[in-house]
Amino acid sequence: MTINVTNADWNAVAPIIIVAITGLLVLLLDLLSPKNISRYAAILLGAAGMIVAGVVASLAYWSPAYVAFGGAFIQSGFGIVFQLIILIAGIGSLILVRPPVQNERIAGATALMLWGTCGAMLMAGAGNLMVVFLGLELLSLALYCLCGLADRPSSRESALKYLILSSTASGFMLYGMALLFGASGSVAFADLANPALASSALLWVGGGLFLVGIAFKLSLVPFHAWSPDVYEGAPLPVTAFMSVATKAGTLAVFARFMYAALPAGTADRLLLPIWIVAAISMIAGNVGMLAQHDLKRLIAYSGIAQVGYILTALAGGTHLGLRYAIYYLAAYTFMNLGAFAIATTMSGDREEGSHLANYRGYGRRNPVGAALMTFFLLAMAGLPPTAGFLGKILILSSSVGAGYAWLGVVLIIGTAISLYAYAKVVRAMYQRDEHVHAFEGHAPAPLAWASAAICFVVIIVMTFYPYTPSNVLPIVK
Amino acid sequence: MSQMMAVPVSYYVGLSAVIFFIGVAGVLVRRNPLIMLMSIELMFNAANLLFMAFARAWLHNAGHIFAFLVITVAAAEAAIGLAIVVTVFRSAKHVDVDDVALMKG
Amino acid sequence: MIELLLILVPVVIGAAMQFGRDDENEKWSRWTGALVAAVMFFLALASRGTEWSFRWLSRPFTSAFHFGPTAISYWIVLLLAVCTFSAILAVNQPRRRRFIGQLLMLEGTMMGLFLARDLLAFALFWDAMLLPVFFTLLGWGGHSGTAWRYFLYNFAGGLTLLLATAAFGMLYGSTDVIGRTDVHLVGAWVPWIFIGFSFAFLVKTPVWPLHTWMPITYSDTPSPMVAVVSAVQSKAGLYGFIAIAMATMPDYVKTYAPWLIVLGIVSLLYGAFIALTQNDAKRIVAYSSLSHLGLIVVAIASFNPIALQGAVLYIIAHGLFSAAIFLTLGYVESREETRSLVRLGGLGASNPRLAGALCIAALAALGLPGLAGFVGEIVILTGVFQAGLVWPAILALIPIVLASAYMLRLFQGIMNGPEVPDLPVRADLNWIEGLALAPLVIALVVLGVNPHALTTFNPSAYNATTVSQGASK
Repeated sequence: MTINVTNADWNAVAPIIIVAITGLLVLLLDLLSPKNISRYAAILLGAAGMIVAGVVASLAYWSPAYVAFGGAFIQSGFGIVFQLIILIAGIGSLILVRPPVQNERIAGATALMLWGTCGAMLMAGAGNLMVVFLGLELLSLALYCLCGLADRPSSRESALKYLILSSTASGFMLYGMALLFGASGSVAFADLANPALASSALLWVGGGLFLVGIAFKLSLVPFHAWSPDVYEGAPLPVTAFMSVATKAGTLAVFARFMYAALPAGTADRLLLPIWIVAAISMIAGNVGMLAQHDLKRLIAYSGIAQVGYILTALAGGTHLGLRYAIYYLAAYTFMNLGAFAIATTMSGDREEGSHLANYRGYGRRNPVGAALMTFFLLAMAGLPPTAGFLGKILILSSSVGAGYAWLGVVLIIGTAISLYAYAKVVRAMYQRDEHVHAFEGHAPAPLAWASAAICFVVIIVMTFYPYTPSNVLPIVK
Repeated sequence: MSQMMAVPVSYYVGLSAVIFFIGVAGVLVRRNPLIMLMSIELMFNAANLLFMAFARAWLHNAGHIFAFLVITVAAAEAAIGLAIVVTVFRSAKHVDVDDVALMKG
Repeated sequence: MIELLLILVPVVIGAAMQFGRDDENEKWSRWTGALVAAVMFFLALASRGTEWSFRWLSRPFTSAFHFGPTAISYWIVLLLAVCTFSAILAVNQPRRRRFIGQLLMLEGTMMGLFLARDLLAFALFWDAMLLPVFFTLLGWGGHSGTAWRYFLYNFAGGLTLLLATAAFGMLYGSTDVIGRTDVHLVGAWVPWIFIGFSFAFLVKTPVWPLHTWMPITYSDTPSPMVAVVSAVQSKAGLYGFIAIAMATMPDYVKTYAPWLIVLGIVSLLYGAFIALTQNDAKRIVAYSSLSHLGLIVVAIASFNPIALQGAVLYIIAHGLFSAAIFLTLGYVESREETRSLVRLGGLGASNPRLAGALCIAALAALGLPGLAGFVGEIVILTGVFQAGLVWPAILALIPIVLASAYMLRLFQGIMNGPEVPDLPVRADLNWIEGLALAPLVIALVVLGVNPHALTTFNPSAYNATTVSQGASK
């Protein structure tokens, strides 16, 4: 088989290339310019590169799907939407890096974040298992380094933990891929959907191992234990990035696997464990939130549950379900980025903004910040008027429509539990406790404030103009 | 199927499964991060073996390419992994994952 | 557009009042708030027959931001405007500006709920209206556990409402159904949808055995806020039964009506008996609310047009007198720093105006002819009796007798008897406090003498098939 690589193929991966080259430029800039300039310049250049990539990616949104590099990469509405979400996550977390606080390693961190974004974007557009693995490892390798960036033991510990657990999961996934390759004789997703494979043992075992890897990356129960620890240890911007980009990329792979790579009739049986695990995650994640004293751990547990909600939307494999999953993922991205932005504005070099104890009395010290934080937390809980509320309604209706009403019921129960945990933080912010040591903010963080404000506006707009991307199917031509 | 295929592919699958489970067991049982990293390499290589065997069985070179890719990635992972282990070692003076427990999940 | 103003203006102004230093503009906040509430009242008056709609979702089911008063909610919206006006004038809590802001936000969100013509918008405001009360309880209430209990109970109800709404939308294809008469839901799912709605409504009302959040919430919430909550927010569930459950799935309401009647009767009796035993003045009123609202549940479940008319009358009447009682008790509490009947006594001699206000409100609550409460009760009982539900009608008479006992006990415990020496004696109602109570008392008298305005609304025009079916069977 020969593959003719044309310009169109390169155009399909242009956004990824732009982000990758921006990473190199950032390093170059850091070498050539004086230190005090390059710190800010690195962040701005990185963000600009991602914005350009986003514009380039969205230009192709309405054009018909294009299969590039002989099926390795697919440029389609589906992939582009996920890439845009990942880019937003990249920008939103990159601008949380604060030069006065995280000093020398800024250029390196920026470059790593850009390359991690590349990896996640590759996953979003991957047409075969090889590119999935490549993207996943690119993302993970960048994240291992990023987790260890902060100069404290817990950060290094989180890097080691993430390295070992995530690599193990990659090993499972890779072995599953090898078995899938053995079953179909091809690494392309499209070739897995061959009805003749429906009873192949290799496909079932391989698919199972592949899904174990997916479940780990999505931090679904029982593969979730790493995420609170790793999130807690990692620096704030990295946690923000990890909590969204990893999940977005992995969800894209999962959705593609589910919608395009399964032989007809096997989806209900092969994916049943995933739905069960999603249901358990919705309960366990929300219960886990109750005992947390650290914002990053709280968001880790919340993320476990939120992924469960997104999977609930996918259950049943309907077109609308996929659209609602994307809608909710986008909403989740903005809520998370907003919450992390507020946490950043409260943080100095010791990341005070991630300790929930420091939020006591925040409502009085900074009413606007507290109001925004309340808004983001309530959005995560799914209270109106937020996109979280509407997203839940959409997910509920699609799960009822697809015959997975039981997942909808679990979602409701999980939401009820989660409310207590989110509202506990809100309550602490508005507590009138006179003898709390007055924790004041640190250096001004204009970019973080801007990010929080944008997230707020976007969430409101998403509530009232619930646009869900329409040309996401078919995923593979 | 080629006549060079003297050894049936199922033998390779069996061998690779054994190697894979040795790797999994290593990760689960051993407490030294270096050995855990080595066990992970074992898991990757079990997959590589499988890729090669299936590439041969299907006469499809995607398996070869995949194996090269995995080798490259594994090398990068080893480099980063060792660097992280070294930084942890520098601050803790010894490495044992049971001691790496500042944060309890 | 009026609807949009009714919802957004209070919410935006209320939210704006949350910012700034604690002690700024305390004085002006009352007049700003009262002015906003008064303007809202006249806007609400003018909103009759208007509608406003804006497409929200087109799939998986159609849904719209569709607002406009229905025949019933028009009156509830007016009640809300009046109660908020009175409550704002009665605020004497610390950090007054923020408190009034919370009241305004509560008004706006409840406007949204009662004006909603779309189920999804209804569900949205159902959750949203919990937040101002929750934050008020956290900021001004006694024990934070109360806030949690209030919030979690009602949010659980909100979630089942959400699930039921989603299922409703999937089944019917649209949620733009409130106030329409041509919607009839059929299918295997409908009982579950009905149960989801009912749970939310029954928690909100509340009805025994889902009432356990209510007495402590009512006694812990500061009086101006609890006046609005008990007067209007507790009517959300009843309104939901009439406007949503009965209008769209009458057959299922009928199937489950015996259960509703049982719950209503139990609440009636339970609330009345417990009210007799309480010493905390606010708790007496809280349990009396449980009792009175149980009567409305019975009226709704009896499926009789007369009873339904009585229910609407009584919804308004109960709103007026419970708001008046709670505000008056708030005045008593701020003067005497207690609301225990054991410690209070003899205020009537020195505070005649206060005593007069409480007297009228309490008499309305116990159903004295000539005041609004009586009209509602008698119409409901007539309707329930006419529907053939003889025993429920007879059982419902018992708490009405008991109401005289506990309301008179409340009044006498506070106002009559010898003056208690260790209580601070303070001034009688000043003109602002009188102005706060005036609209409520006047409305009680006017509606009691001439309930015609409320009964002219024609329930059969509202959900013709529902009510006529109910009457014929």
